[in-house]
Amino acid sequence: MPSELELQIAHLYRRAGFGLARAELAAATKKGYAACVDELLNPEKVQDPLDERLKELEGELFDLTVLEDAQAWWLYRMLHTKRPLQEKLTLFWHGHFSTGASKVERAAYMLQQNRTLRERAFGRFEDLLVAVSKDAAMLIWLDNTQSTKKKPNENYGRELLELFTLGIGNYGEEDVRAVARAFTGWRQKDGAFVFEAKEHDGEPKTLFGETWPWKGDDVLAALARHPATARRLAAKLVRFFVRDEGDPELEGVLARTYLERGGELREVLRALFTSPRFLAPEARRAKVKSPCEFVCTAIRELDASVPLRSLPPMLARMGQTLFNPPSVEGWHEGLAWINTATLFERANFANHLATQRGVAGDGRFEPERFVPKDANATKVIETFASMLLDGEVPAPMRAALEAYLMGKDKEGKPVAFKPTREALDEKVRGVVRLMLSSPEYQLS
Amino acid sequence: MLDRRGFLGTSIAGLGVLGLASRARAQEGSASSTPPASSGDPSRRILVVVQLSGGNDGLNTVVPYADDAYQKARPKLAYGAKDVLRIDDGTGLHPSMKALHARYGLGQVAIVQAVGYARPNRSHFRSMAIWHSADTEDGAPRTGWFGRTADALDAQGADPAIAVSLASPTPFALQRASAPVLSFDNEEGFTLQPDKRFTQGKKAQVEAFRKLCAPVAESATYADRVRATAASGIGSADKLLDCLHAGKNRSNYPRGAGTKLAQVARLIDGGQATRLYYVTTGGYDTHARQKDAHAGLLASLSDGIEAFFDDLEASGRAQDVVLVTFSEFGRRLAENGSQGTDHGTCGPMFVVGPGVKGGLVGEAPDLAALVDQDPVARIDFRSVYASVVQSWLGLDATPITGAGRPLLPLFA
Repeated sequence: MPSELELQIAHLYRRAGFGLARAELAAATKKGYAACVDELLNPEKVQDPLDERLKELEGELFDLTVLEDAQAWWLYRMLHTKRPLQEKLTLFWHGHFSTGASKVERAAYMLQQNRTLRERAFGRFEDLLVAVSKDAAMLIWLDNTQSTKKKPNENYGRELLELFTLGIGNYGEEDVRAVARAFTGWRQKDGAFVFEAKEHDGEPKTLFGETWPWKGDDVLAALARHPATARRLAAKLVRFFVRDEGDPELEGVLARTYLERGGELREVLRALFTSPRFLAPEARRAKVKSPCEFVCTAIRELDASVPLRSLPPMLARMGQTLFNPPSVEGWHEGLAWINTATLFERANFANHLATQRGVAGDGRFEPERFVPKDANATKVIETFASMLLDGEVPAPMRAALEAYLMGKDKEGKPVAFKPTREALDEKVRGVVRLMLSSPEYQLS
Repeated sequence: MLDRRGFLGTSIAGLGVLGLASRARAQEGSASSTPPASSGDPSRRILVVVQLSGGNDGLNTVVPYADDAYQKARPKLAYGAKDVLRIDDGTGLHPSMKALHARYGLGQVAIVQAVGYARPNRSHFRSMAIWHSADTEDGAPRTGWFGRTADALDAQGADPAIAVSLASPTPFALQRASAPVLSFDNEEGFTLQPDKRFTQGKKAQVEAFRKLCAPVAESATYADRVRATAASGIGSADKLLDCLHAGKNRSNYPRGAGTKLAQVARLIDGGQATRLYYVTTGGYDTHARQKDAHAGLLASLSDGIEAFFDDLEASGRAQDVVLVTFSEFGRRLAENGSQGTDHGTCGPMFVVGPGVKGGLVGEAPDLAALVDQDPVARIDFRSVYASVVQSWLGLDATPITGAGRPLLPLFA
């Protein structure tokens, strides 16, 4: 059985990243928990040739003006990054500042936003909020480009208050209208922010009880420093990284950290990942894996590969289309991912992954690398459980998988499992598929 | 004698392919001759909800074209007397809803006007949650109104297929007290696909997967929540696919809601015993340049509903089906500066089917008495729910919508 430290580190990388292969887990355990957290929080200190590699592949593999390629490009990052928290946070912010290519209609703008989210993922929330508010995709997505001095469009103002900062119950309809006026004149041209002074309403507006000529930047600064924003972000971070059900105590700690540290996200995240609430055994398996988490951790933990382009349509059927969240509210986390249709899709991705027999790096899973030559059924199950389930196999799962591995002879009598080439190719792949399809593996 | 539902319920599981093939032939026969009379049997009645996500512009759907306040508030977007499909001297349908207008002429469409709730919320998500839960007070509801209807139809919680969602993620409206509902998306993916090299191994994998999904005695972990849904899926999927394959579409559906309605029609035709279907269609959040977009949405909605009932008429099941549309809110009376409309309050609901008593229900919104720039709802949405639940499905609406919802004259 794995040590408590190994369990903590595996938990950390499932949440702050996309899981670890066996060798990576061993190396990380040697470094210790504190060093791992430090690395995750300071991606700039970690050597990662990913950007250079992607640059090389761009001409060859990716046409980044095409949405499917942009999706594949991002998935490549999630699968290969050495700075996993950076990608995980980018996914978090994509869900928070949910923007959809269905309306923006330019993959290049979606990628530009994606880079902004990644660059500012660890900084001050206020800076991120300003950057997103001036982002071309966002300006198009919530119609701010269409807003005029004479007739302001309320779409951005409303979602800014409701979803990006304060949350419902902390503002009124008159605030929505005042904020909408403050953002008049915020436009984009060819992907760059422009301020059109003649379309800006420079008259006084009343917000938070103060009446003066609020500008967009003033509004963003006030919103970013508001305690309701701190509470809302803390609650979302806890649901994304710790527990689907939330954790009021930890949320309180994070909201206080946010306010005390001027909205420095790195400090809020440090408080999260070093909290005893995060490390408590009850926080393990307390989250449903999102489709991206499910797919990427499965591939990484098995040290396997699947053809990159097969992933986006499968993820879409599981309920997660990158760059096209279902609405401006982003994805609902937790049990909302799970229904009868998405569970079949997950089980079928599991089949897809476990039966990859192609070229290394582009569709290969090699069960024989992990199964000792003299392995019996129990050993096979334990081997993959250690890679996928923290070594924990509930009794009914063990019984089901053993029965599956054993098979039957012509008279229906059970036949013991032997790791022949054929058995490795059929039954061991089958066991891995079943394990990945199990209710237990859907949890992080 | 076994009724049709009972017969199908046993034949698919018991007789397998043979039963299906003979039944499919029997149905083709009946479709081309006299359809079976069926509206007499309330236990066969079906309710289909179509959710228009994003906040449909109700004022440009059921248009108060003769109202000056409407014309003045919408210099770019208003439709006039010449544009609309006339209903009466004050009201007309959006010009692209020709098919629905024709069906209205047959007396099969009730248009419930100005539906909403008091103290309207203009957040998509809050307002949708209110419509889904039928709770305006934010009492942290655990179930949705459609889920409670499923619970009333399947009191044992034994049949997850009593309600089918053709929307993913499953809308909160379908949340039941205990049993999961069936969410269905596409037929290729609604089964455990086998390893392509060892297709004969599928049976052993399905057997093992069933064991992984079997309930664990005296256990209530988070994984068990997932397990219950997985068990519903593996327990009901084969039957649903059999019905889908046995069923046929006999009309042409447009994209949008039509794609999903086509699947519903096939399931009904194929003998799926589901009583409640839920379909969503999006794109209604028309803040900017809405005219063409909205016209396209309503055309596809109207044509989709028409194709659906045409299809059901051909398969002899139209009498058993009522379809209801709703959206989380209407849009503001005044257009904005982007040739669009911002979030508003109440809106119309369509109730469609041969069993429906057609006509306008309630009064048009009063555009002279705005609150917060928007008209005030005249009919609480829970009255519409209660009327459908009680008068169509024959259930007691009280546990579903709360007590004291006046019933509307929606059914003949």
